Amino acid sequence: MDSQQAKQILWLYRPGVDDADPQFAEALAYAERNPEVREWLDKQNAEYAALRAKVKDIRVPAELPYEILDAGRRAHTVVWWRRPFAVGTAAAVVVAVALYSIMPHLGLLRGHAPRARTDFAAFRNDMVYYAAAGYKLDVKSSSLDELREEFAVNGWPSDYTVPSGLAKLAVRGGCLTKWNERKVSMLCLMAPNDHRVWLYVIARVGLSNAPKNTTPRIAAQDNFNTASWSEGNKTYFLVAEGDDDFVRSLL
Amino acid sequence: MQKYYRGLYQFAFSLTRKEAEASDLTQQTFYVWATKGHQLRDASKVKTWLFSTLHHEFLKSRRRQARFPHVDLARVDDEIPTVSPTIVNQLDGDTVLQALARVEEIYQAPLALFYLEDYSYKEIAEILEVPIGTVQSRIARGRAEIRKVLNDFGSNGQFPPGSTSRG
Repeated sequence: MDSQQAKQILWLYRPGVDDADPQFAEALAYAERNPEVREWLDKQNAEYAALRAKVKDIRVPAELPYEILDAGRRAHTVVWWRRPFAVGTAAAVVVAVALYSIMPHLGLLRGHAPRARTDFAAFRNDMVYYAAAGYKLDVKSSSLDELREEFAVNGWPSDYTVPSGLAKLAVRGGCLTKWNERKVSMLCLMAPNDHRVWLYVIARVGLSNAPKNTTPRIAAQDNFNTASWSEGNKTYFLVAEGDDDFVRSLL
Repeated sequence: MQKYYRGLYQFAFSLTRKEAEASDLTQQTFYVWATKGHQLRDASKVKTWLFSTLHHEFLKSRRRQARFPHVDLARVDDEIPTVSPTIVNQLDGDTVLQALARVEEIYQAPLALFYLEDYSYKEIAEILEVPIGTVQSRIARGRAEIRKVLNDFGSNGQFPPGSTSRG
């Protein structure tokens, strides 16, 4: 590799975004050894960061979250699985977004360093989002045993333990979901108070920062309450429409 | 939505340069998500799916039928001077977007994602539904173009007449 080749490759390099991309590794190593290329790269990086900051500073209309909610309401009229509670939840999320958007610490959301998307924190976020977004049941069943059997037949996690409180709820069915190509069993349940509850089960191995606690840890997230724990070779993540006490009653 | 509407709007605005149109695109994206999002089987793909949907909606709104031609990764002129900090300090987001509007249209969407989001090239390729080599080629060329436009702006205090793209 010579200087020209290194520059050609590094022309596409974005600091903080492409650091793990192997196509840049050799050229980056070359730049470390070559002061002229290093200086050139520093200028590229500074320009990239400056322009990125300008673009990311584009003002977002304050009323946009409300307009999106309206779009969601329009969708609500034609989608059978969207329930009033979901819209209410969405409304609460929207209001939270609107408030959040004017808070000074919003800056934390801008220009943030890329995060690994395969750790437990990402899993939590995606699963809450998935539950709130709406889904179609792959398995419609009112029996936990049937549901487990369906997961087993399809090769999805099935050797899980359902907490005693959860086992008392009405079963709606389940989804054979994937997350980053990993199989996730999703159990969908309904409490007598008409609050929905989801239990996600994923293999613990390979899930970085998976909870080490066997006792469920409860935390609020995006207008839901959640509980997370690991047991044996499985990690569990419960999402519920309800308060802390309700979640505790399920565990 | 909490996680994505801001980035989606900014991507939409970088494509349209019009607040109303960007808001409409963002809303439409969430509407599509609300009606079809359940078809998404991999929960980790939600963000990519949303951006891809927005881009689809943008193309639909522009009534573009022709597919963009594949462009092979070619040599780019890395000798164009970087945009100096002095010039950058004169810029605001709108000015950068005006510059973006002056690069070839097929470079605009990949370039916007290049600057806005933390997507890998593979993910940008998935969103735009073009091969990764094409994405990299477009970004490489687009970056050279926007640099020229911004340097011209820095020299003259205004954008060169007649260079406005189809934006």
